[in-house]
Amino acid sequence: MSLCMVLIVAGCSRSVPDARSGLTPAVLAATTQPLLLLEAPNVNASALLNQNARYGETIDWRTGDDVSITFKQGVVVATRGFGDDLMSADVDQTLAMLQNRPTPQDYPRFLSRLDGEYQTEFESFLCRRTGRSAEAINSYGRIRQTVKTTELCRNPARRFENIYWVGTDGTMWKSRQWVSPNIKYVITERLVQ
Amino acid sequence: MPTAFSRPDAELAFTSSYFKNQLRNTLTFQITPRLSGSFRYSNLYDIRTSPTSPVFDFVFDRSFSLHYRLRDETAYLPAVALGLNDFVGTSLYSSEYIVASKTITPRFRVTGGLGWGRLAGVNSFSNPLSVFDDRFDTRPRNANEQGGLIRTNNWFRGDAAPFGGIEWQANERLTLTAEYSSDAYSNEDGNTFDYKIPFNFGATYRLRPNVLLSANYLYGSEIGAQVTFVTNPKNPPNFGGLDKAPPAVVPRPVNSAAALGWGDRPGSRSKIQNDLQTALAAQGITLYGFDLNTGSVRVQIENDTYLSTAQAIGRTARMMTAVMPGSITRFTVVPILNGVPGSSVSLNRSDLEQLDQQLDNSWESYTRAEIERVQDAGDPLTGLFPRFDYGFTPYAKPGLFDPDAPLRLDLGVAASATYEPAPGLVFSGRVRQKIIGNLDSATRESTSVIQKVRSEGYLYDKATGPTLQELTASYFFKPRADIYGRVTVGYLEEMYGGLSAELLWTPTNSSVSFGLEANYVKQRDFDQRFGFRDYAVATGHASVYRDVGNGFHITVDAGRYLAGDWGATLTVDREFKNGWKIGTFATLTDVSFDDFGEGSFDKGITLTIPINWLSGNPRKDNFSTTLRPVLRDGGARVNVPNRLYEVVRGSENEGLRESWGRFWR
Repeated sequence: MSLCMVLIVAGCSRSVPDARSGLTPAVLAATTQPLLLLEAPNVNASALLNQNARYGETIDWRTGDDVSITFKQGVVVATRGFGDDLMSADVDQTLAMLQNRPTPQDYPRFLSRLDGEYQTEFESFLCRRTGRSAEAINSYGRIRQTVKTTELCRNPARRFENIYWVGTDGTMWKSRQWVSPNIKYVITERLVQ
Repeated sequence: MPTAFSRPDAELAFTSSYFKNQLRNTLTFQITPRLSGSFRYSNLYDIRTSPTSPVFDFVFDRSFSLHYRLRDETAYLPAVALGLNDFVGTSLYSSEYIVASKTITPRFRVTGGLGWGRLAGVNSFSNPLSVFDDRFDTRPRNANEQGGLIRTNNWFRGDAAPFGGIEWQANERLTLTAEYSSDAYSNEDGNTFDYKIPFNFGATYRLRPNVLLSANYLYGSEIGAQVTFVTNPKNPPNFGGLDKAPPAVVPRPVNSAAALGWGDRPGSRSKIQNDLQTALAAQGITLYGFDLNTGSVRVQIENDTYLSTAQAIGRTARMMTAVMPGSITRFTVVPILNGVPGSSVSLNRSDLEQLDQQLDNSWESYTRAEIERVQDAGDPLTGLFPRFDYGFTPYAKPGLFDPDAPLRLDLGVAASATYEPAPGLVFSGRVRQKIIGNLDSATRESTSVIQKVRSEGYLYDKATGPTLQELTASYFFKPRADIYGRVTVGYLEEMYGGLSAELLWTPTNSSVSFGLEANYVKQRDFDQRFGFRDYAVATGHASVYRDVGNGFHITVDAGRYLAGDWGATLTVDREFKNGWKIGTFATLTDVSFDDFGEGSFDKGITLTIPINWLSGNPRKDNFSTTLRPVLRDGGARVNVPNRLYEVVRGSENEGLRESWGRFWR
């Protein structure tokens, strides 16, 4: 009987209201604090996040109930509160690629997670730039001039393709980035700078 | 029909299957990647216990089986496995087999094997093993009437018969099987059901990743149904857990006034302490002690929330980066449990700042941390003691395997309270009130011929009013940095009250710990109020706890048991670093198998599931249960709350290391 309870609980899912509802150009115009929209379609989650802490180029964004995602110059380096969280990452070569600094054609990306026994496990990928073009994006009525860059990362077990829309000043206006096998991609949109 | 393949390592499966007059419930655990063990409880009706016996209205049978994969499948050769069925029970299903399975195409598998015993019922021939020794020709009957003994003298003996089958994965969810069974069901044919042909056909549908449904057409006459629930301790439903993000590490500003030190302003010390206390409380951590020095700070904490002590220490260290003045460069955190310290963890503040966003921060922070044994808990903050806590929880108490009613259940509510007048001294009480249930309908009187120390448990379940589950005063102490002590007096458990004292020695950097426990207990009245019955006994054990690696733990407890019998218990646990524990134990004492009665000796299976594994939210409590095929009076121990080993392990060196992955969580 207890085992059945285990299995029923294991199958439970949660749903989160859509953070886009209620967002209008007027609301955003009245917002003075930095604001980020985050969507994680695979886990049915979306939220608005505020800047919580900043150290150098790394910024920790949070929801009101302390789900956090940390970016280094707009590239995800950690998450907390999602479950299958990204514990840490080394994305220096991706940053170099985004800034057009010299990188090998296939450069490494490293990340760590907790396994099922909560032990740190590392995963490495080889990544390459697969596209780069100018693109204007429309975010609630405001037009952002960006460079859209796509990046393909692979290892023998899996592959993912990240997309970054970076403004001329280096702001990551929008992105689709892979976080972990269960969360899969998160979509970020910078609503208020 | 068995196959040679194994389930994924650590998988736990519960299967319930039914066909005409036969209900079988089986719990299977993949103990190692190659070895699996099953416990089966069968409810059989209109059945003979041998082809020549009379027909019984019902037989409720418990059996154990093992399956060992000898070799793995290769491109050309099949996987091969050996199995033993029902080798300790009354041997209704006693059989052995060797089986080979091969994946022909990714969707198509073939299995063939040779069975002995019950699996040699159809088209059997004389045992091929007789070429080694003539004794393989005959299979002796299992002579032990009480069951419970492992009899190796009939393994792989007597006639043998082939069996086989095919399995086709029709699509991602549906698997079809056909088998030729060598089990002739000679105990069942004619009375339980009509056996016609040795062929079975089945369809299995994967309803959910962890739920399988099967329908089978069996032996040319019956339709059967089966459901299987699967879980794996290594796959938490919420992955690493839904713990909220910890507060950010706050780096000291460059070129700040750090050099000024903290003591410049009056009242700053108490402000720092209050800030830290408030911040920790928000994380579910109690600040127990606080000692601010020049350049360093030592805090004691009580981790009320996290199963992983390292996680509580990590969160505490983060809070300290936010609260401590810049001149404090070294943090020491000591976890306190029941007024007694675990190992202290000292960290450089600069390491926290530097490693926070680094890829390999988990291992780096562990290697840079200085971990030391501690004897003295230090002084608690003023106002922390005395303290009082209470709570209400629902409870469920199942009663299993009574032949009159295989499953009984009581539901009710428990009220508990603790009072701690001073560090280490804990008064604790728990009262239960049953609301609904049928445990009190048990009427099977104890047939025990030795002192009835456990077998009258059903009489305790007949208590109607509120029952006192525990009322104790405990004192915890640490005479040395590597020795823990406990003294408990009062109503220890529902059946016994008295005095219990324990010492635990956990040598540093050793995989072995040693314990000593001495108790003097008296049997409680069945109504579980304050009265006692006449029986009193001195009982106690010397224990050795050993981590043998690969997640396995072995415990040996030797000493005197409740009925005054002398002996030893061997416990083997597979422990997962996330807190799951699945184990088995057996106790042999000087009570003879005949005097012990059904089962011959005490044995069982234990299962511990951390609640946070299920819920994803940080919690320290567990769901824990012990499954015994039968509970009798030999080899019984008193249940003392807060036995030291399990309490202290997590906050000592090895426990910290194993949970360090959560330091940054």
